[in-house]
Amino acid sequence: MRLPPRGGARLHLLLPLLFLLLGALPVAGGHLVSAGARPAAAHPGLSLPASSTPPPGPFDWATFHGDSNRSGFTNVRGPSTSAEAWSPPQATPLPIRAGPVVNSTRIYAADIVGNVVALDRVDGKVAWRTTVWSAPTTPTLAGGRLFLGCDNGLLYALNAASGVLLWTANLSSAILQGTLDVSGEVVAGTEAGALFAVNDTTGRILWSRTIGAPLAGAPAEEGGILYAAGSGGQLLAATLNGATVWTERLRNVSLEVGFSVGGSRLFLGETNGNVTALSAANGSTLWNYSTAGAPLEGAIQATPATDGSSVDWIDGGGGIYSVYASNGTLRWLSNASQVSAGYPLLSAPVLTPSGFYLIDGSQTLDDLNPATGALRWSYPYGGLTVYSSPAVIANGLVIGTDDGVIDYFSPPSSLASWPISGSTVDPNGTPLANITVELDSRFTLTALDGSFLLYAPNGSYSLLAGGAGTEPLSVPLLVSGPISGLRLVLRPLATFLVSGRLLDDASGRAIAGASIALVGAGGYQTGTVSAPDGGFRLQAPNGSDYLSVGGLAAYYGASEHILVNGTPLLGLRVGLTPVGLGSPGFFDAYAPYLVLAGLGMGALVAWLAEVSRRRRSVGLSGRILSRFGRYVLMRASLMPVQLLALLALLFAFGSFLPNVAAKAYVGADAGTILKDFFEGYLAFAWSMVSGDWGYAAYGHLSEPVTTYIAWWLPYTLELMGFALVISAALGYAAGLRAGWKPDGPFDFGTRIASLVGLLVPSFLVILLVLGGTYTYFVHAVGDTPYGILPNLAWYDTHGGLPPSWVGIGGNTLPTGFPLVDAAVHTDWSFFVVVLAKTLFQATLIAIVYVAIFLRYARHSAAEHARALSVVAARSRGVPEGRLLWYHTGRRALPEFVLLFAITLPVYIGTQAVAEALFSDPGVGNVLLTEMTQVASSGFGITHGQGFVAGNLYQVTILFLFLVVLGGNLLADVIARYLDPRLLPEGR
Amino acid sequence: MTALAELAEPWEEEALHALRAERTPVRRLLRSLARNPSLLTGVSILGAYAALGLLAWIQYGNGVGVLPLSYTWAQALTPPGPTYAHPFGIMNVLGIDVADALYESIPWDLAILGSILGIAVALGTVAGAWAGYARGPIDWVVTSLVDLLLSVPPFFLVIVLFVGLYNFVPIGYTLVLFVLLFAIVLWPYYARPVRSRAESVTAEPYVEAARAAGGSRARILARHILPNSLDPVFAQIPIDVYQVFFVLTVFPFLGCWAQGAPGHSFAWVTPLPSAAFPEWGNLLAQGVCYGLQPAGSINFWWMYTFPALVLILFGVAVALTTDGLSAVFQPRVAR
Repeated sequence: MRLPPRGGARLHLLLPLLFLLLGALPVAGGHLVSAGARPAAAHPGLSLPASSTPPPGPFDWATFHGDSNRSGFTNVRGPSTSAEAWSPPQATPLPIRAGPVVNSTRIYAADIVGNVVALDRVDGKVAWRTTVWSAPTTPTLAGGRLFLGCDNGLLYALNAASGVLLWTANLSSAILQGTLDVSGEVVAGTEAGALFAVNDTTGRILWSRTIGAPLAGAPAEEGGILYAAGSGGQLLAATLNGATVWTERLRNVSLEVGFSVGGSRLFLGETNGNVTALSAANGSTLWNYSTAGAPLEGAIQATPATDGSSVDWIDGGGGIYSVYASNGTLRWLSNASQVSAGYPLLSAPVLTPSGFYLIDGSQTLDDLNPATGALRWSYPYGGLTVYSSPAVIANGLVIGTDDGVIDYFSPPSSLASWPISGSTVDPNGTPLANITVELDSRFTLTALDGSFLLYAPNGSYSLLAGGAGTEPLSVPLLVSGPISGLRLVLRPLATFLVSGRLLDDASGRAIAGASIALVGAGGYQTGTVSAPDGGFRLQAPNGSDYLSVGGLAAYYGASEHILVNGTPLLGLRVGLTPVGLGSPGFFDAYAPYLVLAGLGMGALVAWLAEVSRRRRSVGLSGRILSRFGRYVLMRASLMPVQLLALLALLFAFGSFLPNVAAKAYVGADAGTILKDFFEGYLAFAWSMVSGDWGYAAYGHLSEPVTTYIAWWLPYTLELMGFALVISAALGYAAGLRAGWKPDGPFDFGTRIASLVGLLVPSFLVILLVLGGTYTYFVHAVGDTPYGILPNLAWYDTHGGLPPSWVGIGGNTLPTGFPLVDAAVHTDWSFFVVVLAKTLFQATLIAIVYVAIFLRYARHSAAEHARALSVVAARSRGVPEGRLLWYHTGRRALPEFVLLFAITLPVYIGTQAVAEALFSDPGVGNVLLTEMTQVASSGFGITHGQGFVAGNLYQVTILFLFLVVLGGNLLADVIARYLDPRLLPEGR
Repeated sequence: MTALAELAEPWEEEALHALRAERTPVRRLLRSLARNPSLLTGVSILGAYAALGLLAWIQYGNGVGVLPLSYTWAQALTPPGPTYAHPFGIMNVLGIDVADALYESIPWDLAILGSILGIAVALGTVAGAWAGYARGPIDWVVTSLVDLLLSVPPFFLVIVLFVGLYNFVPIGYTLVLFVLLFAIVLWPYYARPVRSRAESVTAEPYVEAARAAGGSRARILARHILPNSLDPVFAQIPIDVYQVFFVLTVFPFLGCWAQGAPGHSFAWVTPLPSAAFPEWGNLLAQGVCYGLQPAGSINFWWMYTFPALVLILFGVAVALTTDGLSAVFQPRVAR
């Protein structure tokens, strides 16, 4: 019956967990393969093909403003009367303000709280409904998926056929305007001024760029170059890898709607009512059309439409303009519009060869003759506002309204354009994708299989085809009916090898993983990523080309002009200037020694305790260690086992399972998955234990994870030290006092306080106290209680700039502990501010935590207060005060220490929340951030360079876990030192 | 017994009668309820919650998982406070009547807490009592597992497990996953104290006597060990109510709060199907987030006070009930 000694038994603690995992894995795998409980399409990559941009058909309006150029131009005939296809249904409960999108079978729209609906295009019946619970922008349809960028910062991908959620990606700030799907990337811009590219199959963030101001206008793409604008006139042209092609800042310009792209030009509608045309090649201003002084002048809040030869728009005053795209001279100014009745004109107009559709100032849908501006027909909405941009398809126009209704204007009409279809191939017969095919200024891009489809009325044209890496082609074409099976053979552009290495300007070491884009003559573009030795190889056409390098947070981008002259260009050296990071500090450099010193100190203390214990013990002969010593040894030997088990947990749930989902082991047997698991776990555990934690991007820096930890851990430890001292003092005194007279008024108050403390979330308590004391704190200290270091405003009155010993990561040098460093540099005003902030935050943490601690402590204090020894002491006439604080206190201390260890996780949770609320750069704050990021990004966990760094999350958990583990060990040992009766039985 | 009664003096008769009166468990419970005001209060409050929850469930029917959102209220810059028509006021941004939303939440919260605690307590007490009584390999397996799970802070563990698994779960079932995971994380907190209590109870003479009388293992476990090892369970339940609400409240709060606080990138993580799900923690989180800005001027107190009060009252009721129950099961500890 008797168990072996507990120490021996516990060495195999890892086994049960492994059994658990072994049991769970085949279940998880089987679930995936059979995909029974959940539609197969819900697993990214399982059944949907890699998305591509199919050529727009007559019934496609797939994204904001129709196409990735945001041109608002579609090469079909829209409706020519206000007849509706079906009586409009109540599609959503709340107003539809984002534009609808349409494909050959369905109409998709979403209302302002995220109710998404798909209607059958033929009869208007609801095909499916779902909700994303946040205001979406105009969706984008691509590859059978519907992408919705929402106000809550999430990008949702739904299965367009069923409405099932496929993935979400967290872009951490409200997504503005529309999204874009190009070459398997969903591109979206946010209110925080960042442009993101997300893998459209997995939802993983591929790269992000900052624009510097809230996004204005939906990001656009033409010929493989992305364009995005910030509301302050910032313009960015980037490759599909996120590398800069050019940037431009328009002065004295503010944008709300951004721009449309057509014929290698960007047309910007500005809030001052002007339209500016920029070159898409370099961002230079080509012309500016000013409406100043015009009778109907007003801010442009709806994206202009362009067919490449004219630019047409409506401004906020209701003026409808058409100007020539080439030089910006006026074509016509419409007199058909009504003066604005005060509604913002947000609905982006649509241009077709036969009609120009827009919502005018009196909330009327107008169709104007695009050549003259004469009104063809109109449909008044009366008092109902319409902010949704219309979607125009062959013989039809779809628009959503503020009463949640979708109107589909589509009279019966004959098809006036003939379909022209074919494919583009290279001389070997390989299909060429993304080739621009142009027919009478109507153009399209070829799909992955090289196919294209265009529409043209009868006539004689020249068909133009060309794209990156090919020589342009022009063939005459006579259209008198449908044409199919055209085969356009494009010869490759002669290119030459360009190779070189990327080096750090400061240290000369090679830079890996940077994206290198080459933009050459004739729209030629290519790109690569630098190898681990910094090397890169590209093909470039003859002529003057540009290399631009970027994509690394730790380096400034660079661009280099190269000239290819009929021969390969080898051995280029491109230097990158590192972003100044400051020294990582003492802690980082000496971390191993500090750990060793800590272990040595621990061993020394344990040995001293052992010696003192031995002196007091009797009957120890023949034993190397006393019972206490054996306990310490057993307890310490438990730690590595617990550590390995935690690492297994972190690996399984933090890396492996999400990757199983992402990789979708179709058809893989359990053996393969298990092998992957164990190999992965061994590598993971070794890299974690050996301190090889890799790099992580956090904020705008990309640093080794050790550096981040070196920056953040001292803050957390310092705050923790103060909070624990305050908590211990408060908790010890209050717990003893409450337990002294159970049911006395003090105990009653304590009980109530501890219950409330248990149930009222810590953040509410902290926010309420903060609200009550904020102004006093600012008045007394001269700085806000936020953060650990002084805020920038504080420096204004104290020397202007942070002192030189504050590093770029907000870390202080040399130790990383701000108070110690301030003392080292004898900067006492700095010291006082930091101390005040730390004390304030520590007190708040302590208040919240002690309430929880007391729930445990008063029980044990009450028991000790009734102990025989205390009663005996009272009978000897010991005064009550001494009985309480000395006799009972001494008895209760070991148990208090243990209780503290038990509640340490609660404490850490409290401190993490407090760090988050105070914006402290501590481990707890980072952990909460990373946890939520990882949780919400679905498959976003990556090792290495990614926006959400799974390794950072795992390492922060590891550190906090070590703190808990170490705290538990210490508490167990201290309690047993103070009270040997707690030791396990045995001699 | 009869013989004893015949021989008994009148005062002994009376005492025997009192003993008999307490013999059925229901009577014993009713008696202790009457003698135990804290248990009575706690049980009545919980009963009221349960009744209201049932009522809400019947009233809302299939729509009980979706809060009725009002666009007009959502847009209100200064939402109306408590009035006769809306006794707990209106919460803007989300656009709900706070009283209605809290009422609609009752069945959900009772179900969430009930399932988590029910599974955890059942698993923990049975495993703990069994381990403490049977010893041997069962004890070793349970103790090892418990020690392992107890070494990780519960809310980290729940989130880590949740993050790892929720992609495998159909949308809409994440709440079920959350409940199961939380129960798995919490059961060791019951198993450990119950096991050590069961270990000492097993050594008591009455267990020895029951075994000598030929009682089966299962009967001894169910009749003697379990009831006498329950005390630590009652102390732990209110703490776990806190643990569950911590996760349900903190994560929606951080996600919501980060939307208005530049420099933070907390994502909105919740096991609930949507941000507009009727759940007290969720309502409290959003009430604080939208109703209280310490450095600013906004303080719509009703948006967070009423959800907090509903939560506190529930927690107090749970604490009173468990305190009372512990007095029933351990009469000597009773005050």
